[in-house]
Amino acid sequence: MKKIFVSTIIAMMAMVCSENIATAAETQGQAAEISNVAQKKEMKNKKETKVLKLSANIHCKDCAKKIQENIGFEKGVVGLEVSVEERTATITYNPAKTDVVTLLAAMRKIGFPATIIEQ
Amino acid sequence: MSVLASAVMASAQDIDTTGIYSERYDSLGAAVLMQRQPGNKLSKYTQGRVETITAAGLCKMACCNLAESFENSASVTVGYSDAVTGARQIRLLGLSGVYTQMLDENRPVMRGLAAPFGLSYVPGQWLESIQIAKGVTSVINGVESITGQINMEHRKPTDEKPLFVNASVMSDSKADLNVASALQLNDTWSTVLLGHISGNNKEMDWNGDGFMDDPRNLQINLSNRWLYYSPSGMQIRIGVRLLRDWRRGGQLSSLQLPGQDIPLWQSNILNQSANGYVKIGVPLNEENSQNIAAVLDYNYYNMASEFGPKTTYDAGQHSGFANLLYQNEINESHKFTLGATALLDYYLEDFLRTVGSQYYDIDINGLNTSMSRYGIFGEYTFHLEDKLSIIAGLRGEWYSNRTGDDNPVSRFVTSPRLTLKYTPVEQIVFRANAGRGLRYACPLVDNIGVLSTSKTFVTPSGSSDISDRWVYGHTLEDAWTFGSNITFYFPLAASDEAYLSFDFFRTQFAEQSIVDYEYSAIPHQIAFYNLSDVADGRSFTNTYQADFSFEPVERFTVTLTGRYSDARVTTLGAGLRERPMTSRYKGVLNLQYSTNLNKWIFDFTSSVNGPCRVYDFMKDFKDSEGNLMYKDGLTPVYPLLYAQVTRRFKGFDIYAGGENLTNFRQENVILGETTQSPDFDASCVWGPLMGIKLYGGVRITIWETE
Repeated sequence: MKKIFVSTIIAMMAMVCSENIATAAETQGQAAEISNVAQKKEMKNKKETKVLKLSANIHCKDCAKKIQENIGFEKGVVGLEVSVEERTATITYNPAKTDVVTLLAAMRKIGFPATIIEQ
Repeated sequence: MSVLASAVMASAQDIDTTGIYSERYDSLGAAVLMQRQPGNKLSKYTQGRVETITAAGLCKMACCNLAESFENSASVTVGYSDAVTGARQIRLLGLSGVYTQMLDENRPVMRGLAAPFGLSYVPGQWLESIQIAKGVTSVINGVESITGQINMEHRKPTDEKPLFVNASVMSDSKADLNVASALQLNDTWSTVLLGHISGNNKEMDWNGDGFMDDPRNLQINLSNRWLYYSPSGMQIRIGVRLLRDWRRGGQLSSLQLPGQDIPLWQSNILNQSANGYVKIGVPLNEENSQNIAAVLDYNYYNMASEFGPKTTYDAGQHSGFANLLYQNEINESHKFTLGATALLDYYLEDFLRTVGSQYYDIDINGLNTSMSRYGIFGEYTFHLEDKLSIIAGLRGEWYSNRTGDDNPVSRFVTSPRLTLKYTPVEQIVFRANAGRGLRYACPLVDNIGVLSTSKTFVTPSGSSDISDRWVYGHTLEDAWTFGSNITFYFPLAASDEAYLSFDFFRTQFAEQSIVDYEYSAIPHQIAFYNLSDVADGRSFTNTYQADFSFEPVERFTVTLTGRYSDARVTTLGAGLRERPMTSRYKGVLNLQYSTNLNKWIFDFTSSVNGPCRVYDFMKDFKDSEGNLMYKDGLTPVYPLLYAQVTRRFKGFDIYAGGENLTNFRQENVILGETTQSPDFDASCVWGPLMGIKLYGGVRITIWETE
């Protein structure tokens, strides 16, 4: 049992590391040209993301939770804010990995056909 | 499902049965950010001091069952009743969990025979949240809540999750499987099926005392809940539940040698239960300002048990509960509820026990006991905008207790309760409550640990006839609890609403059933009597608690709580003393951090558990090196550590963690020269029985899609 546990922990740590390694690899080229920390931060902030604000029938906290639990794990989604009051979902995404059509389809698939307010 | 149906189902979920039956203060209007939900939180909007263990809190530890869900809480302390049966007990405000009313979505549960093992029969993964209310609460569900109320909210039929599966395994070989399926059949009907199976098939003895650390067991638990919600607002909730749990604890089976005359000391317990209930809520006008509701509940519980070779206890309990209510919200300031209630507990008991001789010193066969209460109640609520609210409640009930063919002992009792909440400014909430609590004691099952001893039971001030002892035993316990709380909310670091909270609660008994391990100079006795039998008898607890929670940086929550309890009771011949085996203080530090979008979640909980006074007969115990184990008659202060890491993916989570990572264990849990000697006692438990436990598990959620 302890072996299984230790293996699981190691596997999880390896997954964290692998994500970090992947991210590091993506930015390796840029980072090499930047000599100080401030410049690195600036570059990070400039990493291209887009914001998509959608209107949908989000009328309760469980709707919000369903969106969070599903859209939050869509490929390319890097930020998500759901408002029950405004009935909106604001998705921040990496356009290199996903697009508006895919995100709209994902919303529709979980029962929230949405219209675009802002993009 | 149609939009209308979605809306209806959502509102059905938010209001449990009727407006009467729940207080929902979710701030639905607020923006819901993609943030980690705090595990434990102090509700700002509830009338009383309510600590909520959220779904996130229920996922931050193994939380295989309800008992394990309280490890993050300083308010509730969880311990074992004894070292063999695995029965868990909680303490709230420094008093036994029997003084805390347990509710399943506002239905009283875990009463009587179901109390000793009840915490193990609520799978943590069946639950959506738990609310812990300290002090006296509403009179609507009865006044058995003396120190507080713990309400469990289960997964709802309206959850859009056709399938949820959780499987986990622990290093002590315990495995746990939960399945939940919520289905919305049409616009008005929905249902949820809940299944649980868990077991522990190995006899582990890490401390080498010849006794299993945890009993072998197999639990099967099934529940099915239905909701009917019409657009008119009418609700019907129906539920059934079946439970079977077998467990064997005590000496290791491998110790039984061929030809050995002396049988092993083992406990064999089979608990079986069936429950069914109906809740109906009907609005009387369009805006639902007036409505009526009814709750009908039936529960059967059977416990067949052996505690060693010389004690058997077989008992059945039938319980029926009915509550009828009328609620009228006259306007925004005034609301009242009127109701009628009835509750009946019927017990049939066989109890054989002999210690130190060849004859039974207790021989009860087919003894029937009924305890009932029925009466009326009313509750008035006054709101002055968001500044002030006052709830005044009163119950008047006939309490009746009959054993065998004896005449019933009846009396009429009124129970007033008052709750006040004052919010002078938005950042400060002051609460106070006071009132009376009443419950019938079941001295044996309330203190099931006494059966894991070879001690003689005595009733110093009662009749020597055992039936009379039992009548004597079902005392109507009577207590008053007073309490107040002040909570400050303020922005701090990354928190918009960090909070700092202070509580004080006092419970004072007018009558109490006492089970005294320290009675008389004659050793190896346990005495059963009442507080009123003691000259100038007093029993009270004062509890102080402070809670602080904030986020130093985004998605990192720090919660720090500390509790101090002063519990005292007057016992026969000993005067007013500190209540034994009751921890003086507990401090809990909880840290939780989640990465962006909650893909990784890290939880860490540490607690420091203060000393408790041991029984007098334990004071001179020495360890293997000849040192006093309990210096000054107090148990050592000990820490506990828990840690868990969770990786979340779309539709499933995997998690791994560890419990009791400091590996602290109570030494010498089994007392006595041999299992046959009169000093045998496996019930003097004050600390952890098991060392480090590691676990891993997976949660799979399939969401409803178009």
